[in-house]
This record gives sequence, structure tokens and C-alpha cells, in this order.
Amino acid sequence: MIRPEPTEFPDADRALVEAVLARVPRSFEQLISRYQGLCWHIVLRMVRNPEDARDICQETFLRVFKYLHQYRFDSPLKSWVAQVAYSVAKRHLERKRIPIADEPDDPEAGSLLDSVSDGFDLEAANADDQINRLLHAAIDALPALQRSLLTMYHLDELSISEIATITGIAEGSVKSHLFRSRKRLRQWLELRTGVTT
Amino acid sequence: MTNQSFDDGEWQAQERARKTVRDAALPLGDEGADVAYRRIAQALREPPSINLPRDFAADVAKLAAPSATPHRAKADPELRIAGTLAGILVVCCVVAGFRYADALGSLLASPLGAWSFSALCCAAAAQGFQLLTKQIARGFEASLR
Repeated sequence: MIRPEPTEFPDADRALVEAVLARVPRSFEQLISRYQGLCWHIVLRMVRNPEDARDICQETFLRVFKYLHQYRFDSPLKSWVAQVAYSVAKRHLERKRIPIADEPDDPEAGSLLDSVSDGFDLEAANADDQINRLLHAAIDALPALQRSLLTMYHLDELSISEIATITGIAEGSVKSHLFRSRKRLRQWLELRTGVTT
Repeated sequence: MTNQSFDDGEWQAQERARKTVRDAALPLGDEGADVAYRRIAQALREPPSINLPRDFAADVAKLAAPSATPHRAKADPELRIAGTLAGILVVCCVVAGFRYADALGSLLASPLGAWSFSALCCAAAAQGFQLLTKQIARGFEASLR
């Protein structure tokens, strides 16, 4: 089990939430500034389209404002904002009928990754930045759920239990998704670059 | 990828790579047990460029403010005071109207009085229309969210 990492500004968050609820000028703007990066990471990884991501981030913060009086400090504000962002982005994908996850043993699951390096000879151009660029393309080719779980875990440093709360997925499933996604990326990387472990 | 059963040893390797990159403990090299996982962890750690408008926070805060849902409790006393003052004003007008009914009647009969009364009515109607349009605009904005 992964130990939850400490929140960055627990007291500051409480003060900020109270200020927003008390309508202190610029307090909500401050809250947005603090969490717009987190929101952007989650939403962009989910929907991939920057214009959609901007609209969804806006909707996320309007919802945060609307429902902030229901926030009870029982989870870090960071997780709560992430939960709102995730649910708004998920609803957006559902409306567009875009599947957010593949099946665990889907034989077609690798096909998206297989198409990433079409027309590019990685073995001939084995420079770090090119591998990195293609690795990012491979990450982008993962299903939306896997992309967002990896982002929350690696980039935003949310714990598995926090991610489970945000996404409504059981902790064991979150861990399994993380494991399989990373293993899949490694297999893809080994196949393309010959890097072995 | 098919049937990737969970392997605790491999999970630990993934986690070591994640922590190594997070803590910047080791530079990414070509040797070592977790080169591929470290490369993956490093790519996952790189934030996408944030493509939000410069004034995103201020603009969204402005958009959110008119709805003022979390602050209804704070806004209520203000509304109550405004309502009480409006009630007192109406009562005063009624009392004054009864007391000075005769004088008011003769004043309105004069051309200057009639003109002043018309001007007052126009000002009140304009103010009322302005309030009404504001309410409609707010309702429309709320329905869009």
C-alpha cells in the first residue's frame, strides 16, 4: 500500500476556502490560480483537445465555486478540485461517446500504441529527445482513464487512495491500471528502442 | 498487450523508478535495472504546457461571482435590510399621501405639479425596467451553466 503523501497547503487551503465563502475579494481567483495547473493536467490528459480542456477547466471552477459550501475538509482541497475536474471531463467524454478505458484483457488494446511510431525509424534515430517525444505520443495513445491515472500519480503526486476517491474506482483497480499501463509502455519502448531492463 | 497479470516484483521496479525520478536521486543513464521504467517515469513527470489564457483565474472568478451560490447566507442580511427599508418607505409614502392628500391634489392640478409627477413616474419606470432586465440577464446566464 502506498502511503498518502502530505498535502501541500492544508491550513492555507482551509483559510482560502473560508475566504471564498466569506466573499473576500480575489480569494476565488487565488484558489483558481493555485489549482488551475492540476485541473489542466487532468483534463488535458483526459480529453486531449486544448480548446475542450479550456472549457472544461472553466466549468470545473464554476462548479467548485457553486459547491464549495459542501466541501467538508475531509479530503485535501487538491483532491476535491481534482475530483470535480475528473467528473466534468469524464462527462464530456461520455457525451461524445469516447470510451475512457479499455478492457483489462482486450486483445486490441495494444493497437493504439502500435500505430504511434508508424513512419518513423526509432532504431535509426535513437536520440533521447526523439525517444522522449515518441514516448509522449505513446502515453497520449493510451485510453483516457489510464492517461489520467498516470498523470495524477506521477505528475500531481496524488496517492492511490486519493486517486481512488477522485475517480470512484477501487484502490486495487487503480493500482492494476497503473501497473498494466506502465508495463505496456515499457513493452512498447523495448520493442521500439531495444532498451532492456 | 494481453493478459498482464499483476507481478509484485515488477510493480516494485515501477515504483522504484517513479521515486527515483521524483526525488531526482539518479540521473537517467543507460545502465541500471530500471532504465525503461525510469524513462517512462520521467516522461510521465513532465507537465504538459498549460494553455490557459493569461487572465483565466480572474475571468472565471468574475464569471462565478454573479451566481454567488455559496454566499447566499451572507447575502441574505443585506437583502433583508433592503427589504425593510423599502417597506418603511412605502409606509411613509402612504401616511404622507393620506395626510397631504388635499394639498397633493391641488399641486398635481397645477401644470408644474403635473409635469413633476410625470417626470417622477418616468424615472421610476426607467429604474424598474433596468432592474427587470438585470434579473432576466442573470437568469439567462444561470440557465447557460
